[in-house]
Amino acid sequence: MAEVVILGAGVSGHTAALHLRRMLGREHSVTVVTPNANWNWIPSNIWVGVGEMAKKDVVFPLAPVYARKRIGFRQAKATAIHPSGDHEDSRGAVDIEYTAADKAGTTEMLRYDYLINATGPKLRFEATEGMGPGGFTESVCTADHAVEANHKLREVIAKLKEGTPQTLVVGMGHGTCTCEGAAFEYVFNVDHELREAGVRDLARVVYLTNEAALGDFGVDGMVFDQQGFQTTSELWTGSLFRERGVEAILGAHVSKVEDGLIHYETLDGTTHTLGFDFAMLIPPFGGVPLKAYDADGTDITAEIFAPSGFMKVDADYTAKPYEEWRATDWPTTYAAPGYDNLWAVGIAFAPPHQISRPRKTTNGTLVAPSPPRTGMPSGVMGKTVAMTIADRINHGTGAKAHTASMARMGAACVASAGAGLTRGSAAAMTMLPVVPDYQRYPTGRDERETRGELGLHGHWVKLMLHYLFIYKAKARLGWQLIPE
Amino acid sequence: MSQIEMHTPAGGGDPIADLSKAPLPTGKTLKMRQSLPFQFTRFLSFNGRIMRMVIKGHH
Repeated sequence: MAEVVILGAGVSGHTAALHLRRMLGREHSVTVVTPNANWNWIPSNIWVGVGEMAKKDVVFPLAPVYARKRIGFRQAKATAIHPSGDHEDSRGAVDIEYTAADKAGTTEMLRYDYLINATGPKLRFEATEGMGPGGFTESVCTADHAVEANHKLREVIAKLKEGTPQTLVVGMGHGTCTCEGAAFEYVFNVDHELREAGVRDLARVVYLTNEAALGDFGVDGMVFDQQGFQTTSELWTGSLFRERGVEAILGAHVSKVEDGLIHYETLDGTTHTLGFDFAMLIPPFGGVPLKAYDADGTDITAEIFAPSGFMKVDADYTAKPYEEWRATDWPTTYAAPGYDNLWAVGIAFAPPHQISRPRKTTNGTLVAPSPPRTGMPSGVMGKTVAMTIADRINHGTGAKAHTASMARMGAACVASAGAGLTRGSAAAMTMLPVVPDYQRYPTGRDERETRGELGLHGHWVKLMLHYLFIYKAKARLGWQLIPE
Repeated sequence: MSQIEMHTPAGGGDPIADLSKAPLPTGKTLKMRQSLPFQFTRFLSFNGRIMRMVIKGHH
């Protein structure tokens, strides 16, 4: 009998758990440890943040799904990993602390034969003074944050309806943020809501980003083939912003937020302040704090985790200049070096470097979008590691690892606004691969599959993905037929 | 090399990207973005692209 423990129940962890349960016999156990009681389809938080959906539409309780699928469930947070066990048992172990109200604070040590770290991000609002729901800006990173963002947005719309001009700022709250696509989608939705409310003319909408160029999205931008000509995501995004009357401030590092005032520095080293009545700023991500100990109790956290808190895997972490970055630097198996039963997937793995070119302001401040790890790649990583573990349990520990590199797999990003089937609009992008491979493709990506389009169809795609992925996550009949 | 330049107005205002040269859609393009039959073909095309990506790059 083998015991598999999965830390985290986001897209990658939950996907891994469902596939493992499907591929393993009942004599083996699969246990998920997550501090959250609910599963959240995070891409649709954007719609919650503008009131187009309610929180109940984007979350559901995990316990009934895991009970039905016979997956063990601990509502708890992991605090430490013992990959080589301890003085009592050489099997690996993980320390957990319960977060559910009835057992809050209770600790337990779980033994494992195989461990997947899919803990997702720690939202580092503290990186910028005054940022976040505890400060002066909103967030859409969780469903609760999005509900609060919508409340604040409604207050601003009410003031606009009274005839008071308002400034709305959407963007990135630090020079090293990731998830620019989410901010792009949210600003697109905010603009739509203001138009629907008939108050757009009184509102100033500003997109404040760490991207050095519009359309960078933390992936170094894209080149599209459009009617036989190459065009860029920069020009395409610029067109959308011009059409919508959204102002853009690029290459910005937000250093501090006060009540109604954002302080930021741009790449030329100049510092500025931007007044606001409503601001939604994405925080930088870090790894969820986890310690690691050797069998004799020695602290090996620095060996297992990168300084960012993300877990090191089979990537090439050699420091080298942007010009020497290669697609082959990116991990393929997601196994932790030195361990054949420990993996990190989704946002929990440490990327070898950024995808976009990192920059510094003339004052030396780092402005470097971090690599996005969106739902599609995260789900694929979770399934890939699940397949590796299932093979090793079912066919022996020598079974070859399955692979899935972000330099080979694609991703879709759909920024959709509106509701219903005939009144929405969307910017829909696909890219293949996520990490550009300039040795393989002249533009870094497959031009046939890398595209950006605007139109109602993108809204249908986003709605379809919303319902399909929630259906899949609930493990309803035929869920495994829906691709990651 | 960025195609869109930053523009800092005299007097120390916000450095806003100059989007004045970004192309604007024509009336026909705007109409096609909302055309149900045309958008249905784009919907099928987009899904086809996602499925090709699943087959090509996922494993």
